[in-house]
Parts: sequence; C-alpha cells; structure tokens
Amino acid sequence: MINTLDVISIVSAVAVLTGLGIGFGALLGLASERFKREDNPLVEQIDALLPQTQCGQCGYPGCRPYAEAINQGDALNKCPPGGEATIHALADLLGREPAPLDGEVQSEVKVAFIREAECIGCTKCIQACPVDAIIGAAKLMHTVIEDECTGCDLCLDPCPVDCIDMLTRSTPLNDWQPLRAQSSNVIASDRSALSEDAHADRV
Amino acid sequence: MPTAFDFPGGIYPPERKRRSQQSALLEAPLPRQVILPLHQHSGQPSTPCVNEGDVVKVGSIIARQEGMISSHLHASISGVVAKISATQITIDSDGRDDWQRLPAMNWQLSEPPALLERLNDSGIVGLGGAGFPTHIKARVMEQHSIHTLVINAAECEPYITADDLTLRHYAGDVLEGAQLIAKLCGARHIVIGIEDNKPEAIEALREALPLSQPLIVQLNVIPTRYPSGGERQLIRKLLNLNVPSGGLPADVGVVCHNPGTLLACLQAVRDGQPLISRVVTLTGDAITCPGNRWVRLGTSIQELLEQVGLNRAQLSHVIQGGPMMGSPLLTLATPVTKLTNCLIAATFDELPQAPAELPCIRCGECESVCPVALLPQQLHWYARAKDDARMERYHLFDCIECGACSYVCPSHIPLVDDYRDAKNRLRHQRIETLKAEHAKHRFEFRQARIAREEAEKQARREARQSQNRRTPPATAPANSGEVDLRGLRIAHAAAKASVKKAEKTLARVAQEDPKQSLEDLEIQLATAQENFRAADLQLAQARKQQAAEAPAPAQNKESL
Repeated sequence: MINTLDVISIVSAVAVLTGLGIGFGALLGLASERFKREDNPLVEQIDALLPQTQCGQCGYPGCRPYAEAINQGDALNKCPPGGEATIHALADLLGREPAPLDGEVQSEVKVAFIREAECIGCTKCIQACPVDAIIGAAKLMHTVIEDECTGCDLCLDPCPVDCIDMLTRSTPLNDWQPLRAQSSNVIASDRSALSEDAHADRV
Repeated sequence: MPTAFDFPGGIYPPERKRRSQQSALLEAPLPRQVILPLHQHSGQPSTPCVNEGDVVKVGSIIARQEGMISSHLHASISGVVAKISATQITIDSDGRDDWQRLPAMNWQLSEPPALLERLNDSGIVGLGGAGFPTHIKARVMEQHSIHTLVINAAECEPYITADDLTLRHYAGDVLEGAQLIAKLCGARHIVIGIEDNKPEAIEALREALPLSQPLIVQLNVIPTRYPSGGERQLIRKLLNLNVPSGGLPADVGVVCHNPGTLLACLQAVRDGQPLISRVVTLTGDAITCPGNRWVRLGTSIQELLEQVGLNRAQLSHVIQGGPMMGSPLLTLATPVTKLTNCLIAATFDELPQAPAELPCIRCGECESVCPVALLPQQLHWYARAKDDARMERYHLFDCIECGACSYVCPSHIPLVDDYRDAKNRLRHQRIETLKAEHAKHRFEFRQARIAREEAEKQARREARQSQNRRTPPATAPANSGEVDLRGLRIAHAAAKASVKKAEKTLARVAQEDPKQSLEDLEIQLATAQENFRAADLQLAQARKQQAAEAPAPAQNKESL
C-alpha cells in the first residue's frame, strides 16, 4: 500500500536528483566551452621532450608534426638527435614501452659550416634551413650563424657545389669540467690533528 | 655587543693561519710579463680592445665588457701587448711602471651614477671568490630595498689571511669603501662580521671605527667556526635573517661585501686606480718566507712562488684558494687572476693524499655538519645514481660546496665533487633545454613567415586573375565561401588575440627584469604578428571573393 506521503517523497527525490544532474551537467558543459583549448596539451608535452633540431629525420617536417604523430600512435624511436634519452623520456610520459632507436646514433652535436670561398650564392641552403640560421643573398656569399644552427644537416643536400661541412660543435670554455680524480683529495687531507701539531712544532 | 645567532652544522678544521699572518703586507716585485685571462669574473668574458704591438700603461683598458654581466680588464703593467689569443692577453713589461689613472673623485660629493660608472670603468669584481661585477651588485637598489651592508671579514677557511692583513693595514680605507658602497645601495647600517682568530685586525678596526662617517659601523666578533664566512651563514649569524632558497641576500635587504673589494672600490674612486693588483696569501710548508703580497694581476704563479722561496723537492702540489674549497693547480704556469686569494704550496706531510674511498656507512656525520641543513648522504646516493630530478628536489642548488661533509666523512667520500658534477650536469641540461626552446621559436617563426608569404602570393594571384577576367571564377560554390569566411574570422580573431598576448607577456617580462634577454619573446611576438598578417590577408581575400559572388546572382535575377 502506497500512501500519498510516500509518493511525494519519491517524486521529490527523483526531482532533486534530476535537478542536480541537470545543474551539474550544465556546469560541466559550460566549463568545457569556457575553458576549451585549441591545442592538445599532451602534444605540447611531447614537443617539449623532443630536441627541436627540426631535422626531419623522423619523416615529419619538424618536431611539432612528429609530436602530433606520436600522439596519434606513431613509434617513439624515430628521433636520432634525441637518442635513447628522448625515447625513455617519451616512454615515461606516455606509458609505452621504449624501443631501440630507429636510425644512427648521433653522439656529438654538429654544426654546419660553409666553405665560403666555394659558395656560389645560390640561396638554396637558406631556403632549406628550418631555423633561419644561414644568412646571405643571391650571388653573395652565405654563412652559418653558429649559435642558431641546430645541426640538422638539411642544408647539405640542396647545395649544388657541396661546400657545406658538418663540423663538431666547439664547446665553450665555461662548459669545461675539471677531471674528477684531481680534485678528489683536497679536503679529506687536513683532517688529522697530528699533522697540525707537527706543523705547529715546526713553526 | 649584540647577540650572535647561529647557523646549523659547521666544523673546526686546523687553522694554520699563523705562518702567513706574521709577516707584513709587502709589494711583490714587478713581473717581466703578465698573462691576463679575458674571463676573470662571472658572466660573459670581456672582448679585447687593443692590438698586438700596442703600447699600454698601467691601468689602460685592454678588454671591454661584453654584455650586461661582465667587467672591463686593465693592463697591470706598462709595456707592449705581445700576444692576444681567444682567451688571454699577454703584455711584456717595459720596466717603467707608467700609470694611467682616472681622475680622482670625492665620493661624498659625487652623484651615484658617476660613482657606478667609475666602479664599472675600474673593472672591480667581488674579490672574495665569486667574482661578481661590483657595479652590478651596487645597482641592487633598483630592485630591492637594502637596509644593511655586511662586511664579510670572517675569512673562515684555513690558511688564508688576505683579508686579515688587508684590515690590519687599511682598516680606515676599508670602512670608507664600505660607506661608499652603503651610499650606493642605500643601506642604513653597516655590520662587520669577523672571526675571533684575528685579534690584530679587530684592534685595527676598533681604532678606525669612531672615525668612520657618516653611518655608524657595528663590529661583531664571532667565534671561529667553518664556514661562518659563507654569505648566507654570516647573515644568519649576524642578523638572524634567513636568505630564501634560490634567492639572494638582497631579498632580505642585505648586501655582503669582502674587505678587499671595498678597498678596491675606494681606491678606484678616491685614487682613480683600476683593479690591477690584489692581496694574495702565499703559504704552505714548501715556501720558506710565507706571507701576504700585493700582486699585479697576471703574474705567473710559478715566478711568484719562486720569489718567496719555493722548495721544489718538498712540494707535493699547489692549491689555489683555501684547502676546503680551493682547487689543486695542474700546472704552475698559470697567472694570478682577480679571484686568486691564496696559494698553498703544500708538502706531502702537510696535505697528504686522501685514502681510498670506502662505501658509505650511513653514519650521518655529514648531515650534522652541513651548514645549510641539507641531507648530504641522500644527495650522495642520488648523485651516484645520476638521479638529477631527485637531487634538485633535495635542494642540490642550495649546497654552498663548503666541503664540511667531505671533511668529516669517515669513508673519505669526496661528496662535494659529486655535487659539483651534478650541478654542472644540471646546468648543462638547462642550457640545452633553453637552446631547444629557442630553436623551436625560430622554427615556428619561419613557418609563420612562409605561411604569410604564401597568403600574400595567393592574394596577388587572385587580384591578377580578377583583373584579367573581370568575372568571378564560377568554380567556387557560394555556400563554401560563407563557411570559410566564418572559420577565417575566428582564426583572425584568435591570431589578433595571440599578438596581444605576446605583446603583454613581452611588456611584463621586460618590466619585471630588464636585464633578461627578451630575444625568445620577441621571436614569439613576431611569429604571432606573421600569423595575424596571414589571417588578415586570407580574411580580406575571402571577403572580396564573397562580395564578388554575392552581386552576381542578383544581376542574374535582374537579367531574368
């Protein structure tokens, strides 16, 4: 037997829950519209882990497109400039299995160098450089801005006279690190009070 | 006397200061040749401004500062520039010691900008060891309000007595230099922190104190304990202020200077004498007459040590700096720089080789002596595991590399070397990340520029076509034009917003920190502008197209 009181309480419970549902649904809908992001935050994170050499060795025209491709499910191991470190960082981020690098390992950082005497000023390398690191004009000598060059070697192929070399990047003096063995025994040495006493005696 | 507060940890290594303390401060003989490295300060190396064969006098500028944080370099002897290499300038002496001084100034009557310029022109850097350009440190007032200038005369490292002797001989001048710097940075109090193992320097200061004008200088004698001369430790000890992690003393309203630096500042202003010499402690058992000397910068260390009687047979190694934080020299054929405060020619008995390293036994000694209250033992594990992220979380960058942990370690583990390596590695990584970021911005800018050029080309092509034919192309359906227009309008608005955002970010960062390089932000702004221009062109073109299409059906109707 159902009396009216029960009916009212059931109806009111249903009404309250439905109201809550509609209310929160509207709130969520509003929030998703209001704080909508055009770009995919995961792509940003992947892009941040890539070395930004823009070399195209992965088969995509730059690091950002490759980041988008990884997000779509492409393999992680197509970035030779990043090497193992990048593969592991990406695998950590995406929770995937790291795979061995697909390509040759690049151990040292390279920088392009134009043999200026041989340059004919064709501007082909300028057009190929993804980071605008080559300056020059038609029929005038070109040169590479060392600090801006990412060492992608995209300028090598277009050069009609093969006057571009990839050289090892010189390390600036302040990157120099002392050899470890030399500095290891400075501090431990004057621990013994004995030697201080001997010293005092001599003085 | 005000109460002294305390910092955690600390050790009491044998002082061994007596040998170099006893003889007076002398001038070292003029060198026949000096080698002046271009990078004797923190920041960018300076750029040579003389040519080989030029005649220079003592105090002539031979290399100018490069960028914001850098310092000028002056000839320390008169003679001829013999050689300029990528890293150093060699000058051969003519033996005459001709000076080229700047005009003398009265610091009390001069305006701060003139004084700052003088400090910059004189190439003065912090002589305590960090080598930070003093004129920049004196400009701290622009961003922080400073209440106290601390004179760091603690000199807590064993062996070193350079500040001690400086204070004994030039107590009045050091105090006057402090008044000058206090005027520049707006400090209202001057506090001297000095360890109680320098009674003669303390006496000299006591005599000079009443004469110091206009601020009253407070002398604070603290008990000897290593590393009370650390900037943060001394501020904690004297003023009971904690410098925040990753911050500067200026964040708590304090500026710290070394007595040698203050003396150099005064000499630069009062006498017009640029930084061309400094006080160096020459000590160690392998030297027959140890003591402190005024040494011209660039003097060969080997010549200098031979002048004070270097005993080659007994010499084990020479340490530049103190035994705790200094580094052994691989060769004696290096010059004295602005940062060389001490040279220890040690015998084998004096500083013997450390025994072989043993495994950590987790005794926790290192933790109890750490003056920054870090966990050296944990850092040790993470350093050996190359777990850099975790090291940063354990505040690796707060380590002052004082060496107290290595000193007490019963397993003789060179802990500080591990931390230095890790710091270098992390710094290197940060630079690499910044570089990658920079390359990314340049790449994006290029993409945007190419897109804009493409859009311009397209617009020109369309214009040409419409001129040639007069009639709109029939291929484009009217409906798709409208949809395109809406999408383009949204893209146009978004591009405009991103230009505004980039402008705002640039303005804000430029205001917050004028010294910072804004290149990346400028590139980002340029990228946004290129994108905006491309969107603008596309929108205009689509509108034109629509306008051309819209009247066409109307005309058709009329003709019907």
